[in-house]
Formats: sequence, C-alpha cells, structure tokens
Amino acid sequence: MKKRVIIAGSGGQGILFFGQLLTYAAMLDGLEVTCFPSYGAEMRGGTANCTVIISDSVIGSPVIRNPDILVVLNDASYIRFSEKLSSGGILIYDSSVVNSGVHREDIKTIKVPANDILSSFNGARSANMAMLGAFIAVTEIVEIDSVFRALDEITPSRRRASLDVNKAIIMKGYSSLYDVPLNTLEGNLKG
Amino acid sequence: MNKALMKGNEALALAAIHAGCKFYAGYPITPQNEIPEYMSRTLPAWGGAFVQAESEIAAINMVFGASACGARAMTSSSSPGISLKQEGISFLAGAELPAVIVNMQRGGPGLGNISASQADYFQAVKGGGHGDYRLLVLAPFTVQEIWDLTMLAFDKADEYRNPVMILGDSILGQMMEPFIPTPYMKPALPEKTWALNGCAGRQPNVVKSLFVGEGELEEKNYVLQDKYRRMKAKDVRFQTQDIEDAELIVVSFGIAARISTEAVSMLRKTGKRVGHFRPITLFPFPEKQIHDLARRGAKFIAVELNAGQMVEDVRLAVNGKSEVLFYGRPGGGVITPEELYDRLKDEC
Amino acid sequence: MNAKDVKVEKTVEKARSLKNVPFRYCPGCGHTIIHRLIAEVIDELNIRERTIGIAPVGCAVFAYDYFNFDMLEAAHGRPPAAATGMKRTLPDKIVFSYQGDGDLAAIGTGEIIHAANRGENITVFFVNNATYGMTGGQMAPTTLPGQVTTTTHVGREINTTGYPLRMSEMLATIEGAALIARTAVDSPENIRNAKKLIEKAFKYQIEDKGFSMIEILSPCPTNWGMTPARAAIWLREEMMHYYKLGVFKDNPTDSQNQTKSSGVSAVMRSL
Ligand SMILES: Cc1ncc(C[n+]2csc(CCOP(=O)(O)OP(=O)(O)O)c2C)c(N)n1
Ligand code: SF4
Ligand SMILES: [Mg+2]
Repeated sequence: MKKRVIIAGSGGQGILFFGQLLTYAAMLDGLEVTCFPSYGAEMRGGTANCTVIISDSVIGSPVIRNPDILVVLNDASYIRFSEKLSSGGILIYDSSVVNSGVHREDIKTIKVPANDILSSFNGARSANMAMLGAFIAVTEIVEIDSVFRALDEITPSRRRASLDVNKAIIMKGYSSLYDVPLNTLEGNLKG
Repeated sequence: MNKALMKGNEALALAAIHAGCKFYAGYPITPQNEIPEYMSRTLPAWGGAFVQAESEIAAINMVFGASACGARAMTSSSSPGISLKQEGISFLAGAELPAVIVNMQRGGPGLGNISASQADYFQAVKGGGHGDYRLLVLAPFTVQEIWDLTMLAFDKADEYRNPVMILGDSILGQMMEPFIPTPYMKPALPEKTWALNGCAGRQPNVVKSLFVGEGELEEKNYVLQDKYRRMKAKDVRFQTQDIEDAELIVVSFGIAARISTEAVSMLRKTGKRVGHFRPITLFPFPEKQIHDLARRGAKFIAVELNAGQMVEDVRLAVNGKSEVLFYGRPGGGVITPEELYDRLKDEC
Repeated sequence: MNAKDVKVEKTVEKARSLKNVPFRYCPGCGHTIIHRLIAEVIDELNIRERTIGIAPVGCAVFAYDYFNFDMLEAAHGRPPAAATGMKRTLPDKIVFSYQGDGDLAAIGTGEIIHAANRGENITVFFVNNATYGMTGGQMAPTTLPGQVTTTTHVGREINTTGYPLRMSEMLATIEGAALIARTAVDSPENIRNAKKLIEKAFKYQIEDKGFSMIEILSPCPTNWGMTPARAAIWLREEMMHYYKLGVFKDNPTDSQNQTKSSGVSAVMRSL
C-alpha cells in the first residue's frame, strides 16, 4: 500500500495542520509516512499545500508530481492541482467554496459541503477538520481513533479549547460520507 | 521508544541541544529558519545561548569565539549564507576549533531559489574557503539520520578539533517524518585543555590561525593533513542497497538518495541488476569501496540535484576501472523516481 | 615627564599581564603604549586570570605574543562577533577586543554596531591611527581629508572617498552602549586619561554594565612618514581637530543589561 496525498488551499485554512494530523495518525498506526509542506516564497500570495505519503514500506522521495488523492479547499488549488491527479485517483473538494469545473472522467470526485457540515457548530470555521473527517471516511488510510489521538497530542496548549469542537467536526465530516461506496457516492454527488 | 514527528530542521536543532550544544548563532534564510527559531525558543532553557546575528559572517565568528572558549557551538544557514561564512570556516579549520555548520542547500548560483539542491557539494567537500583544509561532511537522508548525524557531528568535531558540516537541503529541512529520538551518549573525548577560559593555574592559551615563523605554517598544514588522513582511515560512512550482483550502481547522497532508492527498487522488480551506493560521509568520501566495486566491473551513475559535482569524486575513485555516468538536474529541479527509472532502465 | 610619569613607567615594566618579551612595534608606535596601559589596568584590577583578549588583524595581530593571558586571534573586523560568542559562553570572564580603524570602522562596521546595539557586556579598544598600518599605509575610513596615503596620493579627496568616520560619535547614538569615549596617547596627560578610561571600561564590564568602547588616537610614525615627535604633534594638531577627545556616552543602564545577563547567566558556568 502506498498513498500519495496532496492537500491544498489558502494560507490560514489549516492545510498544514490537516497534513500534520494525518501524518501523525499514520505514525500512530505504525505506517511509514512523510509530510512535505509548502514553505517560504511559495506561501506568499496566500497559498498553502502539503504532500503526505503513507505507505506500509519505506518511502523514498517525499516529493511527488502526481498524487493518488487530492484534497482541495479553494478554487486556486483546484485549478493548480486537479490536472495533476493520477488517473484513477480521488479528488475530494470543499464544494462550499470551489466553483471551478475541471471535468475528468478518469478520476473519482467527492464533493464535501464543508459549510453545511460546520453549520451546526456555531460559527466554527474549521473546514479543514470537516474535510479531514471526510477524507478518513473515503480513503480509510488511517484510523479515526488515531486522528483523535494525534489531535490530543499535537494541539498546542493555548488551543486546547478548540479540541472537542475539532473532534466533533471531524466526526461529522466522517459520518457524512462513511459507508457510502465510492462509485455510488460519485454518482450521487454528480447528480 | 516512542516515535517523534518533527520537521528535519527542528529535529536537527533538538538533536544539537541534546548533544550539548551550548551556543548557537544564525541569520535568517529560507529554508532553514526553523533551526534558529527552535534554538531561540529552546536553547536558553537548556543553559545555552542563542544569538540572532547581524549577518552570517557575524554568526560564524560568534561560533568561532564560543568554540574557542570550549563550548559546543553551531551555526546554520543555506547556500548564500554559507558562502558568507567561508572565511570564518577557514579560520576554524586553521585554528583547529570544533564547530558544527549546517547547510540546508537551496538552488544557486546567486540568490537562486529556495528549492532543494545539492549544488554546494564542491564548496562543502573541497574546502570552500581559502587554504588547504577539509571539513568532515555528513549527508543525512532521513529525519532519523538528521537526528543521529547531528549528534555525531558534535562528537567528531571535538574528536578531530575540526569543523563538521551537515549538508542537507530544502526538502530534508522542511519535511516531517517520524523518527526515534534516541538519547545522546557522549563518547570519551579528550579534555579541551586548549580552551580560552582564563589562565588561572596554567600558562595562557592562544587560539590562532596565524603562523608566520619560518616553516611554521607548513608544519601546521602537515598536522592538518594528518588529521584528514585519519578521518579517511576511520570515518568513512556509507550504505548500500542491492549491490552484490549489480551491473549498474547508482551513487547518490541526501535527498537524491531517497529518490534513487525508489527508482532502484522499481527496477529490481523488473529484474534489472541495479544497486545503490549512498555515501553518508562526503568527506571522507568512500573512494576505496567504490574503487573495489569498479574493479568488479560495475558501471556507475552518479545522481545529483546539480549539474555534476560528486560525479567527479566517483570518477576519481573509479580511476578508469569502469564507466561513470551522470544524471542530475541543476537549479532546484527535483528529479522524480519515475524520471530516474526511465533514465536508468536502458543502462542495465 | 614629571616624577609621577616615571613611576607609571616603572609599574609598566613589571606588569604581570605582559609577557617578558620586547615589543616589535615601530619606534613611537601607539600600540606599544596602549598594550602597556591595558596590561597595567588588568594587573591593578587583578583580573588577569579571568581575562580573554582578542587580537585584530592589523599591526596588533601579534598582541597575543605580548599579553600574558588567554588570547584569541580573530578574522579581520570580526572581534566583536567573536567576543559576543565568548562572553555569552563564559559570562564570568572579562572579554575585550583590540581593533584598528580598518578592522573596526571599515570591514567590521557591521559587527561593532550590532555588538554595541545588543549591549554586549564586553570592552572594545579602538586604536585609530588614521591609516592601515599593517598593509603599508593605505587610506583608512578614518584618514583625514587631504591626508596622503598610498591609495590617496594627492591626499584624501572627500568627493570620491567620503569623510572620515567618527565612530565614537556614531556609537554614542546607540541605545545599547554604556560607555563611549575618545582619548589619545600623544602626551603624558592624555596617556593618564587613557588609562583611567581603560580602567573605567573594564570596571563597567566587571559590574555587568554593558558595552563600552574606548577610542584611542594613536600615532603611526612609519606610515605617516614622520618622526615619533613630529607624529605626536600631527596627532594633536590635525587628528584632534577632527576627532575631539571626550566622553560621548556614559550611561550604564543596569536594568537593560540585567535583563540580558539573566538570560545567559547560567550558560556554561559548568564548562
Ligand atoms: C579579509 C581580509 N581583508 C584584508 C586583509 C588585509 N589586512 C590586514 S591588516 C589590514 C588593515 C589594518 O588596518 P587597521 O585595522 O587600521 O590596523 P593597523 O595596522 O593600522 O593597526 C588589512 C586590510 C585581511 N587580513 N583580511
Ligand atoms: S606601521 Fe604604524 S601602526 Fe604599525 S607598528 Fe609601525 S607605527 Fe605602529
Ligand atoms: Mg589603523
């Protein structure tokens, strides 16, 4: 097993936190994992992305050109990365903010209406957590319990207050998609 | 032991602190800013001093001063900043002072870019500054190895009384990867009787790199050369993958080695007799090991993120005994395993 | 010279802080006098065994051959950086740098300004002889307008080479500096004054009061092309006209330096 994931969006959306949680959870699951965030000048202009590779054997290059799974949280990233997704790959995007349409027959597309998921959370803006929940449900690469443990271990003490809300949002994103087979999902969401 | 998850840069900083680094000075430059940032947060609590210097020149000279006082001292930077440090590094070598210098390389020449690069290989292993000197150069390729080799760097610097360089790159510095933060075990090392710490109860010490007396500097140079010979005899480090029956051996270090192992594994699956040789010490270079493999008839290809630098050392080691090819991309171009696979598949 | 000066001279001969070797500076060179003064003060303050000096690149590069305590020889212009590394590592030691005008006011301008600005608790002796002594008398940043040097054959022209830098005045504007003063070693009276200032600067460091720099106008008869006697007159009449003697800043801000010391006080005491 080897999954190559790119998570992309704008600065401030918590893209790197998404990547870090996923990486940490994979580590807790005993998998090999690398996480390569965008840095420096690439962060100018407000974009952020993060490459996470999860595998059951040693990982070579932590940098890839074509991901198997792409998670996008804004239009610019959708445009920049969707063509790079490998054939047969999965595209998961926040349909509340992404309007661009790149139509590809050879990939599976999962729309996640993050705003709807967040609506019951009283002003919470953690679309990244909703997307993470959906990501875990769709890909089943890491255990959701490991993601929760990761959240416990890496949330800085000054953000402790957000911990339970984040878990609830992840859970809601997760249950909104869990148990729905990919092919029907795609059909449903397309229709 | 539980695994930790950190960026390469941060793991490096923490390893330095565990290894007893008591002084750090640096100047901001991408992609190594996490090192000074981490040091500024953490080093003082461990009884060390952090200084954000006014330039890389000042930083290396602060390290020069701290090291002369006997402290384990480190500075870090990336390519342009390392160029500025060269005079100071030469002074450290001339004065036989230990120090750890980290270069998280970026694309060059000039301001270049901040992508991963290995274009400072020559500068790192051939001297870099003026004079006949060498650094012991360590090239980690995982965050685990960054942790381990940083600790080793401090020990080797003290053992040889010589600056040691850790040669990384943007990707290694920026990437996160789980690693086991093994505790630091200090080996037995000679006391720093030469250190400047006040001459109470002894004759004054002088730390200098100026030797103007008749034949004095030549003598000093023989001492240095002897030290570099000892490094060659004792401290060559490397790792191999599938070389036993290999007809083609990829030679690469650092981030290029990660890319190479992947390409080599892909080729092995198709039945190709290809192997991988990874120098961990770039100086001393594993020349004897490569020479022996060449005599066995293996062909070599050096893979680097530059226009061809380490390949020259591979050629010197092979010394005409077999063919040496090169594949690389300069200017921060990062090779993918697939790209390398395509390049290699027709060579074996 | 009066009787008192002779006495001073005698103490000098015996300074523990000087090795028992003859100076090899040119006759009438200011470096000789300044070395003596520093050694005397270190003796009198009884700090020899905890003093670490830094020799510059310049004629005084051989300071380590004369001073009888721990010495570092640093790269051209970088002593304030090296001193920073030393003092932060060993805050209990007394660290001073000894620098020429090329060293401090040209190639090392950045280092001196920032060491002062950080309020490093170190002492700097800045020997201004208006020329690059060691390399054979080229123009220094402190060379006077009209002064002939080997790179200003018709005299320093300010329209192409700028004005001489008044480092003391400049550094006195820096908040972090505790003591900035200019003195000279052309006459017994000024030599006495120089010694007082040197002592004061060391005391400031001992008392943790922060950065001090004593600029010392110093003759270089060789490169000025003068006899020692004539050089003393030129220093008085020409240099002092441009570089006024005096204390430009004397403001030991304890609080500021205490903050910094507390951050580093634990460092390396165990070394
Ligand atoms: C990097 C570097 N550049 C140039 C020199 C050559 N150099 C040696 S001493 C010196 C100037 C010395 O002048 P100053 O600092 O005024 O000291 P003085 O000899 O006048 O006391 C120079 C330029 C050097 N050693 N290193
Ligand atoms: S050249 Fe000038 S500064 Fe140098 S020793 Fe001679 S008189 Fe002194
Ligand atoms: Mg001078």
